[in-house]
Amino acid sequence: MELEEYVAARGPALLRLAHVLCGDAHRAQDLVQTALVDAFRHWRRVQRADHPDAYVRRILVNAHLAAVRKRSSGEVPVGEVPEPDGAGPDGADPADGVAGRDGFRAALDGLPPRARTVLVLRYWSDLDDVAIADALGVSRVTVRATASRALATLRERAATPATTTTTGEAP
Amino acid sequence: MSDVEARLRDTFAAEAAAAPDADVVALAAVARGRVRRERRRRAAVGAAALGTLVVVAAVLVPRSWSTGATVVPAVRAPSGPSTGTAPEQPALRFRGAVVPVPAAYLDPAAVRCGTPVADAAYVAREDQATRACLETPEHPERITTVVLEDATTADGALGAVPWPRMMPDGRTRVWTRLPEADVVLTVVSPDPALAERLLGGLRFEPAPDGCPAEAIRTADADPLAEGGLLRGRVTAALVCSYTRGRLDTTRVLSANESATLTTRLRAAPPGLGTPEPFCATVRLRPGYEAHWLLVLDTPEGVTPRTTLHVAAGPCVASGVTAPDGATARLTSDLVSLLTTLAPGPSSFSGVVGGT
Repeated sequence: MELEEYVAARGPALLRLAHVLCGDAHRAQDLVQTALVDAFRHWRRVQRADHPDAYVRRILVNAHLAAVRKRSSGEVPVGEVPEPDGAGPDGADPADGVAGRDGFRAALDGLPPRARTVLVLRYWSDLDDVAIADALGVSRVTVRATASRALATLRERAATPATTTTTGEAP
Repeated sequence: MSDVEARLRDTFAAEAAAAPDADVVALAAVARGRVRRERRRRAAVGAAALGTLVVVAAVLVPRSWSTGATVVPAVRAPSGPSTGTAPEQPALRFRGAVVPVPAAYLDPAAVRCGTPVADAAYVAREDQATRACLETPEHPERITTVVLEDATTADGALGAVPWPRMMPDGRTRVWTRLPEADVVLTVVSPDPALAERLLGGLRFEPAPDGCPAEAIRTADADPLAEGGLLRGRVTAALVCSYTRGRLDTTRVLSANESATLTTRLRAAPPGLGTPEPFCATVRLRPGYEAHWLLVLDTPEGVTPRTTLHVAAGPCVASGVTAPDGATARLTSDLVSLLTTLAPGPSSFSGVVGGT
């Protein structure tokens, strides 16, 4: 199978995974392209792999984590500038549902990159802990512990009123 | 499933639904181009190191030790600075017009969706499909672009009103016409001296023997022709590419490239047509066809030279035809190689290969 054939078949799924991982359309395309460059460099190895999908997914995930590490000290590009905190109406407003969702997403985005990646692979890609461990190059125990901590953090933040979240409490 | 887990699934599903509808095949082509460029660069560095070693050895080792054996390709390269199989100077090429540029300018990733996002050198083609997305470089005023295009197309832009030399963003724009190739070269740069230097590098290299100026077609396909496209050993090869029947790019192949090309030609199954995976990747505008002419020297036959005609179009009968009517189907491998060797039929650029 040639790279183009593989990409024609699996590219859209890779792009969706990249978008869920990084949450930005442009970065998702860059991420897929970076992963494809790496995949093409080792294309024979990808072709020989028992599960080429898993191999390419691992490349993509590692490229994502590497990019996050590289970006962590710099600015973070966003698609839209968020509204200032507290600009919205108070808790009785019907917009609470939206605010709640945004709060959840903010809590999700506030997780360490590796923890968020574990959750994406578990709840979006529906991978089991073994496959996630393989993709991240860590042990299954680490995956389970990371997921458990991440879920606990999310539960805690989801239960916290939005006003508390916006006061700058440490993540 | 807990509430948090359900919300996670919903959130991820919503983000996946918002994923861009990008042309992933184009992304793959760019990736392939980038890796090939890296490999060529590495090979060039290796060749340079080897060359240095050879020179040193030639100086130090007595003359009697040298082998003296040389293989001269039967296909003659054009006269001029870039002949034979010597490491090629990075250059933008179109219809015999050659503009030496830094290698980084030729990176396909420098142009996204038809917009330069870094210093870039490229051929602007009206028949080229580009990905539908908006690209805005962060600092367009810092970008240098070197563009070759058909003079007729460029005339519309040059028109009766001359372009101002200074662009609104402060960059200098210079251009010139090369009548021999019927092309216009435009250079835009924040550095006026660099713009002039790039413009001054433009030269014309006549096509090598064997590449007619207009595309020629070989005999009609003969369903009874047997024996494959190639008989005997191929010692040298030349690829001529055509866009809309006109010579676009020529390339005298090295021994390795000739061997790769002939291997792929021999592997191509007989017949004409458009294999589905290939058909799906073509981004030609309707009415456009791409042509290559492969001129192969095969000294072990009655006729020492074989000319193969390669035609490709959007899901039309595509393939390779020999003078005796023997045919071969286009494989994506073959198209990919041809677009890399002689990227004339530009409609494939950014999809299968890269210009």
